[in-house]
Amino acid sequence: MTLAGHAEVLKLARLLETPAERLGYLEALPPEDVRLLRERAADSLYATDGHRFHRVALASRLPPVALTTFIAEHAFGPLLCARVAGLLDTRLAVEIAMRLPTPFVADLAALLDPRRAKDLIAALPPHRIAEVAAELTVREEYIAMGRFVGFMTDAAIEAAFGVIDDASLLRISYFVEAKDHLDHVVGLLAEDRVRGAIRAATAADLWPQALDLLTRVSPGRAGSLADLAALEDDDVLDGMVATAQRDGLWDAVLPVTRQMSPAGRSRFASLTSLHDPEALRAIVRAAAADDLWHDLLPLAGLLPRGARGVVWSEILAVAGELPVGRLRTMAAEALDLGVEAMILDLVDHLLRSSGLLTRGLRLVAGLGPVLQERLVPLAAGLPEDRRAAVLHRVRALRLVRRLGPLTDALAGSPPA
Amino acid sequence: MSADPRAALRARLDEPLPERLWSLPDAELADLDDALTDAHRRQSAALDRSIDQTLRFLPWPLRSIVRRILLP
Repeated sequence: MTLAGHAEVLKLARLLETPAERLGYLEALPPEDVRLLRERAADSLYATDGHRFHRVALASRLPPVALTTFIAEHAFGPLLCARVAGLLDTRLAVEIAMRLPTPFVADLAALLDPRRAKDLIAALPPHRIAEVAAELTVREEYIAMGRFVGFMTDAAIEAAFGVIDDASLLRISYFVEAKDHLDHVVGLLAEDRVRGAIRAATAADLWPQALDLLTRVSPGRAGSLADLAALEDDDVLDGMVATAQRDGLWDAVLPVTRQMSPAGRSRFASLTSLHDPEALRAIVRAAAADDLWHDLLPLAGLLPRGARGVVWSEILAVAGELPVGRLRTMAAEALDLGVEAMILDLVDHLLRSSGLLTRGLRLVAGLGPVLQERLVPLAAGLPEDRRAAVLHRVRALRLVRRLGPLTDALAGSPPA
Repeated sequence: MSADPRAALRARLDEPLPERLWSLPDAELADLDDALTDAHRRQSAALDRSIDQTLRFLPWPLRSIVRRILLP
């Protein structure tokens, strides 16, 4: 089950007025499929009684607005109003919406398909939207609010921000549909509100929603948000680490760390909770599964020595499980990323454990001559004592020939 | 419950529908069709009730005009 998939099932259940648990089997489908299904279901509900909705909209023009408003509230009810709202003349619809009691408009909003009432939503004054948003927040109608975001003006969104608390903002973000728009909407939030939402993520156990948000905004925006998170106390960020570990969300977190500023990334790498060996091993496994080496290596370089050691050991363990072709691809990618700055640290770590060094040398022996040739400058650049220690082990393991030009580099011989 | 939930869903929902929907077992598709049918039934019943009540609220000169529009 994905976060996005669960959100889509909740929305469909709301449309069909049935418990979400009943439709749990739909979480086996990709979220975009459930969304398409929901849109078709909404279309069918509007189409079935479409001719009658049109007639109601036509009849609504006849009485004075005050009477139509009275009838809307006391006879039509929120469901019929929601179905008809988008069919009314926008000016009339706005006038009615301004006269109706706010709790009734909130009822209506929860049932409205915003795709069919775009003009009305855009034409409502921001203060009216804020009144309804406040009511929907009290009712915890996060699904309804998330669906509206893509259809609201910036002024209306900013007015709504003024009445929605930080935790609710995060909960709503989970249901926002307009992915392209979400980035812009997050940009409208003042820095103190973003930091408030980050603190709320820990206080209210909303890190799954917060991490989901990071995957749905642009990489640059995600990096900025993560930089703001990095300004928070350890206990706030520990909540994020715990959630990523518990829910297996490192594949969402790792790419964000690469988008962070150097200071933010260093702060993140300094977190004690991140140095937990179980967390580090899960991070390496996530990088291996999703080819996130270019995200992992910059972070690994900033970890303290002990934590880096865990990362190097796990990378070796992962590499040892790969078929040769995949291993060579992974090694080539690592070399492309430029691992020169880390090679001495890696070698020192291997030299501390004879078992690790043996495993590492056997992996290098399997890389083949092309990749070994690329490793020559790195080997040649090692301090003499490390080269001698590694060479000693190469000879003991009888890998001299299989390491080809690398053996010469370790011996300090000039390249042929 | 429909004997053929796939046909029932195709009849109720316009294309495009997600292709992977059809990979669900028949029992789940039948349940989805039931949920849709219930939602349609509830909506139509609510609409009937609303129209009935609306006519009661209208002053009599308007009532016959609105009745002609709403109930052709």
